[in-house]
Amino acid sequence: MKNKYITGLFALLLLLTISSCEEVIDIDLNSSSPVVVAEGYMDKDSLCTMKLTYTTGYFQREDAALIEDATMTITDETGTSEILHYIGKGIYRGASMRGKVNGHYTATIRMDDQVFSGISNLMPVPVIDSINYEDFPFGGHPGAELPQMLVISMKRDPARENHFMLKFRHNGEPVGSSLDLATDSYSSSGDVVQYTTFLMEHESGDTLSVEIYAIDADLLRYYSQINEAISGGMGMSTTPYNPASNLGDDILGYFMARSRSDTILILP
Amino acid sequence: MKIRILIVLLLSGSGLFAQNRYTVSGGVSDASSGENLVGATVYVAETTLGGFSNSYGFYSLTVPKGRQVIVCSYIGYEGFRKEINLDEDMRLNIRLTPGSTELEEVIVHAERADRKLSTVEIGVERLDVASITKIPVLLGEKDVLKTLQLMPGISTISEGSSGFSVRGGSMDQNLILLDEAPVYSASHLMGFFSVFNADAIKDVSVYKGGIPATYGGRAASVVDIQMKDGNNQHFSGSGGIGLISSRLTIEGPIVKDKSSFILSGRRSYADLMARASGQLTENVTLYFYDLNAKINYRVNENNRIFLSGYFGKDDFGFEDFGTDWGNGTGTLRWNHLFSPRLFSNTTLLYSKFDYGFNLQDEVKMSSGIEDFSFKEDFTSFLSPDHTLKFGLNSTWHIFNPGELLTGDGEFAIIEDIIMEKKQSLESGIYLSNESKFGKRFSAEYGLRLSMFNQMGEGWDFSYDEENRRIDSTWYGRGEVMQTYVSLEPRLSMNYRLGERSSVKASFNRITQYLHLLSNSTSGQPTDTWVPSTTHVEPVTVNQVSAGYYRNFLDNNLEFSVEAYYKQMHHVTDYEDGTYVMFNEDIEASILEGDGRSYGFEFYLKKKYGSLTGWISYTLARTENLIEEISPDWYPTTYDKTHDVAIVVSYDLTRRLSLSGTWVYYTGNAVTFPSGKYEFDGYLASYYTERNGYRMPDYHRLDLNLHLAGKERSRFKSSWDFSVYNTYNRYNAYIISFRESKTNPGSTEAVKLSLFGIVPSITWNFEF
Repeated sequence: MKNKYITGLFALLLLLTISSCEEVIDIDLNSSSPVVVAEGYMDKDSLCTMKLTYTTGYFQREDAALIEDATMTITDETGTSEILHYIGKGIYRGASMRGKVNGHYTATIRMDDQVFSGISNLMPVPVIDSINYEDFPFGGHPGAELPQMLVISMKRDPARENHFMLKFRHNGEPVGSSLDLATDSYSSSGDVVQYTTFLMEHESGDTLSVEIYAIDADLLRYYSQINEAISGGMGMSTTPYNPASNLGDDILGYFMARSRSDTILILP
Repeated sequence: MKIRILIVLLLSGSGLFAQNRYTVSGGVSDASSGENLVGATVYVAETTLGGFSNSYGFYSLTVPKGRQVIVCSYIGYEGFRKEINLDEDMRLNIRLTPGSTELEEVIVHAERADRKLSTVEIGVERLDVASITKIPVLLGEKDVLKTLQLMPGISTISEGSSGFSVRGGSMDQNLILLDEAPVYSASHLMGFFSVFNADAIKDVSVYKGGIPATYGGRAASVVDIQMKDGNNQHFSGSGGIGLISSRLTIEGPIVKDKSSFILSGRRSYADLMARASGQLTENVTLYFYDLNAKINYRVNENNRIFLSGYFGKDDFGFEDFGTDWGNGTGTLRWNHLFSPRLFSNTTLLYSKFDYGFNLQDEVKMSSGIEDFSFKEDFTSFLSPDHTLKFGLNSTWHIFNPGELLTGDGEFAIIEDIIMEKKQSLESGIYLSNESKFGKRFSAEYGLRLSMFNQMGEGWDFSYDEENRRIDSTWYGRGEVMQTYVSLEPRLSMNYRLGERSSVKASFNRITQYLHLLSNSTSGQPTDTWVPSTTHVEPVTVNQVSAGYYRNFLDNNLEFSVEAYYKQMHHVTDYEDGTYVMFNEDIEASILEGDGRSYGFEFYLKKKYGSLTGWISYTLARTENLIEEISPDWYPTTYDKTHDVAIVVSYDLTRRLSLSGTWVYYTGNAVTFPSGKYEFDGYLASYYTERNGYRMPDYHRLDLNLHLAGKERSRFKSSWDFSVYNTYNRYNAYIISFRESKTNPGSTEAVKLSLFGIVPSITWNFEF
């Protein structure tokens, strides 16, 4: 009986005090002049691709306007250049130059009277040292099933900084609402850099494909910043900002050189 | 030789006058408890000779010899009147009797109720602690800081928060003192409750402008909170039981009239209730506590010693994870009277704030700040028209920006991060004089010289444009790395237009050497205090203000309008993407610029009668100009255009009173997206102008019904029935933007509100 009263009082307290609520609202946002958005890749053994679009109004449903008349070139560390050709849907692609480890690439975009240029370094291919499953180390009622964690260890080169970006697909569908990053600045031990994440709900036998990209320090910083832009801002905390592009001012997006390792896991 | 004699006479405060004047001095105290009364008016009847008791209840009046009538008044007490025959310096200790309801009229007429008109204070709010008990606040927890937010020029940071902004200043620009010790984090539970237990507090004063030379170190305000000394007449106690926390205060004499103590504690118990009801497991903790303790000893008529301390903590943990943060302060003071006209206060202070978390006893993180201070303050009552104040203070700061240790176990793969500790010496010396020039004009003018030394041991780094280290210099222990010196003039003036009105003006310059690094405007325990360095200059504020004050209805109604303008140099912000925590090179990412803040404050207060309360309205603007952020002035996150508070209390009967608070303010400046784009399959927001939008307007009504129980001998009890947010308006706490969950591909804005209607019940008692 006593428990009933205490339970009721506490329930009332919880209900009324922690009565926060979330509501979708209408809000007027300023319109802004469209800004160029560039998404460029020079992956190992792949041709260079660059997608050019414009920003849209925040609540606009229509697809972003495409940029179809830019001149794009890619230049490697030897000075060899190639012009990327427009293949449709805002995408420009090279024909012969492919990404090589330790390559140093410069992408240049010319459109109207503007010139944008950015540099990226192609890092060595990441090597997976181990992949393990572990129980979440704390929490929950006694006897309750603990969530599982996926621990991926990448080999670390002690002669340089080691940074990685990871992508996951569960049964072919992308997983995660932000970019997953790992760096030896925060989580390394001896010869590995470790990345740990909660495993999503799954059935035994499901597949989890893992793509691991090796990236340079500048790209790591950009990815960290874009994660905040993806979160949509929070009104009361850190002032939101636009991640700095390596292609210059007055442009969004990034040109990146990456190498990649893939693996597919059959989940227990 | 003559100069030497003059200095000695000045310090002793005697012999300056021909022997046709003598000094009446003593303490003003509560007759029932012995508690010193701060700011009591003491004057000679039928004259303009008078003054106020200081922070320790001491007053000193030099008046013509012969028969004089000394009058003393203080709100809530019966008036004091005594005829004396003055033929030598006289010690007259005044004990005021608390007023009863039958004697309300006596109180009204006995009090010199034009205090605001007669002092030089401008931009100062004095809180009647007793009035706090009637003001409804969240969950029935009486809160000093939340009550201050109802005053003009003082605005809340966010819903439910005890963090506040004064005249557009940031949170770290408020110097909060508890018995002279700085309190670095004045909030529990992420800001929902302040750390100050109203039962242990005697006096609260807020200086928004016209800050006297006695104070320094914070650019926007000083909140000076005095603890009670403890009842030196008889044992007594008080307390209350509420939904979220309970409190108990016990005080009494150690030796009657000579020594007393007070012990006051408060603890929240949401976790205890939840465990008792089975809602939480045994391994979960969620609570905060406060403990105030003080003893005092009157050695003799000229010497008194006080020792006080405060300890408070927030604790949250479950299973093997725990986090806690809290403050600790200690104050040792010695009041000494060199003569009836020379009062001194010597203080040793200690203050600490720390934050930490612990995971399985392997991963440990800590950060904080620690102060050791010495202060010496003199007040010399030179003459009826001149009161000289002078003194010095020095503080050794130790900064722990952060330390993360991951042990040798399963978390060893995470690198240890040990941020270098910093230390600094902050000192000040001041001199000020409060003078009366005739019957109408008075002024307080002074100068404060402050100095700040960043001290070794430690590294000083140089950076390139990309914020990469390019050089380093090592400083050994005790070596001076950087010195800043600032001359800070202070001036307040009052011109009495007539019996019921006056105009005032002030100027002050203040330099702030400490900075709070925060990723949030709402104040979190993870915020980090850092010193000014070779790369980060101190903030300097010049503020001018002017005001018109008018009383009506026999001083029952007080009206004032004040205007202010603040000019700020070296205000700080961060480069985009700066990580504040565990960033050893944070200095390289700090941007500096100018700021300005200006506004009008209107205040109307009814002080006596069955119906009391006030209306405050602030119209203001606060902007920064930091070139790397914007080429033009842009509003800061603390900028709020309109801020209204209406506080009303009505005594329905002798035992029943109803009070209400209505607040309204326009939203603070925020940054919302103006567009969007896709990158790598993710939707990202695109931002244009910094702080170019406003949060929606906020308004809320709180009500409180206070029912006093029937008095049974010494035991009294009362009930408070409160409703927070009476009309259940879901004000916006955060607005965020995301891809629609119900309509993928399109975007939406989402408002998060914290509280709907929140009723609460509190039972209070005293004996």
